[in-house]
Amino acid sequence: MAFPLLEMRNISKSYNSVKVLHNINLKINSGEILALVGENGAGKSTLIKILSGAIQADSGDILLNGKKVNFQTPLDAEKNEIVTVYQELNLFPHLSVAENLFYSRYKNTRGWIRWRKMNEEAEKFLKDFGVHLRADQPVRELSIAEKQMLEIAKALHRNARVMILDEPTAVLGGDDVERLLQIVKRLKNRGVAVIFISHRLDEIFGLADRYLVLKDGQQMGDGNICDTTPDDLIGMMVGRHIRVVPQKKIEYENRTELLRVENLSRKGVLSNINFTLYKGEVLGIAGLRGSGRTELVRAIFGADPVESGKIYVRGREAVIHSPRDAVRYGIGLVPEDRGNQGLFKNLSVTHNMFIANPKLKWIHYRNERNKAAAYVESLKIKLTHPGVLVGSLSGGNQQKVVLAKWLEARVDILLLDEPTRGIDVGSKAQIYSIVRKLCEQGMGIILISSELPEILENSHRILVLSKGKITAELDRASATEEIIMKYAVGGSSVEK
Amino acid sequence: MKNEGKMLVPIIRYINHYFKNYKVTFILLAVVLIFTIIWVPEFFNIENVINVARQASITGIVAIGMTFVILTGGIDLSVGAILAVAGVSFAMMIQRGLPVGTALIIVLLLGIFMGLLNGLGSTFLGIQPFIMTLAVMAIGNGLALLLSNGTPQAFTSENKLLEFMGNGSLFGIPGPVWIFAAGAIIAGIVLRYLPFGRFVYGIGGSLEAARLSGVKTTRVLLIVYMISGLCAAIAGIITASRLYVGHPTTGSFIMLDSIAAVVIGGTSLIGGRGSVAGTIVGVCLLAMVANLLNLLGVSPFHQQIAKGLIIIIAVLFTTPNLRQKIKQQWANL
Repeated sequence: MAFPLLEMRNISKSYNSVKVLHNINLKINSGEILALVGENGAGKSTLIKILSGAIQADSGDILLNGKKVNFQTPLDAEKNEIVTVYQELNLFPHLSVAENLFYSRYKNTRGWIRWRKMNEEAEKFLKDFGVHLRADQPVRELSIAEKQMLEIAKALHRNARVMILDEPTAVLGGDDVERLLQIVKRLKNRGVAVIFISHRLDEIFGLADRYLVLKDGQQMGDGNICDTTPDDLIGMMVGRHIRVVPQKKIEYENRTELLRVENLSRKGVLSNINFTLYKGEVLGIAGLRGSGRTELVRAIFGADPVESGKIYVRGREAVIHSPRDAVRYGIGLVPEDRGNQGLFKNLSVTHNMFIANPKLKWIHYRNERNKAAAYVESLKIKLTHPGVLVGSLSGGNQQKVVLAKWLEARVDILLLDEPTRGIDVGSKAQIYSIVRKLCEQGMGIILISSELPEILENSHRILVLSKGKITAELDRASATEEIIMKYAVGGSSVEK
Repeated sequence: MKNEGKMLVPIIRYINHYFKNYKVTFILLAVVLIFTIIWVPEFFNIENVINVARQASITGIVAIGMTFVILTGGIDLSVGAILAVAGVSFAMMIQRGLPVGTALIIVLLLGIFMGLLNGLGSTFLGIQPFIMTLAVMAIGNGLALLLSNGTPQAFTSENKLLEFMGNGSLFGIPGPVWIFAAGAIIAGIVLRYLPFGRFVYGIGGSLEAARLSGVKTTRVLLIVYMISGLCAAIAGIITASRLYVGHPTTGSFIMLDSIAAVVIGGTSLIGGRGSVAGTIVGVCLLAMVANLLNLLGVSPFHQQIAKGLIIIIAVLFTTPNLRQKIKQQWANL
């Protein structure tokens, strides 16, 4: 029997004793498109990182044409003609299309680069592949879709046999998606094995030959696309249904107002945002990436400039020009980019916890050790010692340290921007139980999440943002994923 | 008994943790000490030790300021130039009959001001600290030459404070050593016990995270560069009062030595990691090695080479996963 082109056998991987992949098996043949599907954090990116040599599996084998291979670095994978096109593209923005295409193997004669020949060949190669780009154009001037196609063409030019596309369509709209999918089909016709990661089921059913579903690091199913239905696939992705315990209903009558935003605007980003946050409430903000949800909380927090509009804290107008001002008004932000903006990775847990308190005058180490121990216990932070570097903790525990920082700063308005991104299921539940406890204690919390079930489960009210505008305000009872999505993709499509 | 054991665990862990960060520095110091005891016992002659300490203190004072800057992830190349300007202008003010106290304050303010320039450039104007302080270094060097017309400025003074700072001593310990010690203690306390110190480390860890934690990052950075300027000015006055000469081209070695001392002391150039204690050890190490080589009759040229090697070795050992890094580089050769 012939061997499949590429096979991954019994791949397992753990981070900090959290198992993120359990015995995954993957097979793919030449000219085949395999859809790798699963929710955020299911283990898809870990799996492709192992395949591309960026990280190593704890156990399991990778076989190429039936022969075992060992990828220590991304270069090893590339030598074996396995190329990954990541979402964050690896192009040189200031070099031209042709230079990027031929990078490190420029057309030359005895060491002299032949620019004209290189440009001609680049244009011809791209045209044959159905990509129409000028070869001497700097890559920074291309659209995201064009960059993605160039990246794929570059991989093809390097004779890729296996190409991994990490959510190539996630950031694209309408026509661009269609163009990109055409390119992927052309890859298939040229005999390339494509591993295609996407959340969009319609794409998968229009494109893929086979599927592999991951859920919490487990392989939930695999097979031919023609033998399955979208509903089955969703069933596998969602897996065992976690019982949704919605937020307790709260009475809005006589509720104290904590934060009121009036006509907040910033050109091209936010327009006329108005809303109120009450004491003891979780206000969910839903919206697609780029809808302005992150910009909104950053504007409230003083991290980004605001052009017009007013912010009232506890009924009085607040002048917030910097995060410092916001902290003084009792506002805390848990930013989206935990690693670079929320934490000081190379500083200790205690250092991280006690840096934001504006009332701090003199550091009492023993006092802080005791307080840190108390936070570790109450927030269930798993660590060996509060003196360890925050960077060595798992994502969930890191996020709890960020929460502790704001609790220590005594804020009563918390802005949570994707607080559970990249965090395992267990820690997610813990973080949300902390959020609930905090709002029961009287905090007002704004919660942003891309994962609608999280928003639905944890919010008392939900605002939907689209293109910088609030398109809907929904209460807990009437909101569903479908309704939110309808408003999130924009008012115009609702009317159709 | 059982309880005591429990109490000890975190303490041992803490010492371990602390030691781990500065392992190399301490090991190097120990090696140098053992070497000295065996081969160059004459080093321990009281007079020699005092002399070494006096020399080291000037570098040390500059290195304290440099520690603050490097902890934020920046660098200050202008310290040598500030030192020169401070020395020259101090000498010239005394020449013209200004009271020592007034001259002292003016010069210290001048140092702070030049540090402020560094800070303003690297925050408000967004110029990288390396470039901004390079520019201020050039300006400072030029200024020192311009003021003094390129010649050393000798002066005389009977002032007790000046004598103490230059050549005098208290309880047998030289004046500059007292100043260095005082500076080190103050800096140590500021970095460890004041929120300001915590912000300095935080900015080195991540400027954006510090800003989003409500730290006034711009203010902290300005103060950090002003501290460095102040330290350089103090070192300049001490240098001038040693020989009663303000020399316009002194201080070029001080900049490199102070950076070397900070780095040898285990402070990361990326920022966020390090301490004043490490810097003190680094300063001592550099001064000791220089003196040992002197005593052994090694030429100053060889000494420079030795200094370079020490810097490389110290930094090499603080690199995490060195072996893996070498392997990776080899693969990409």
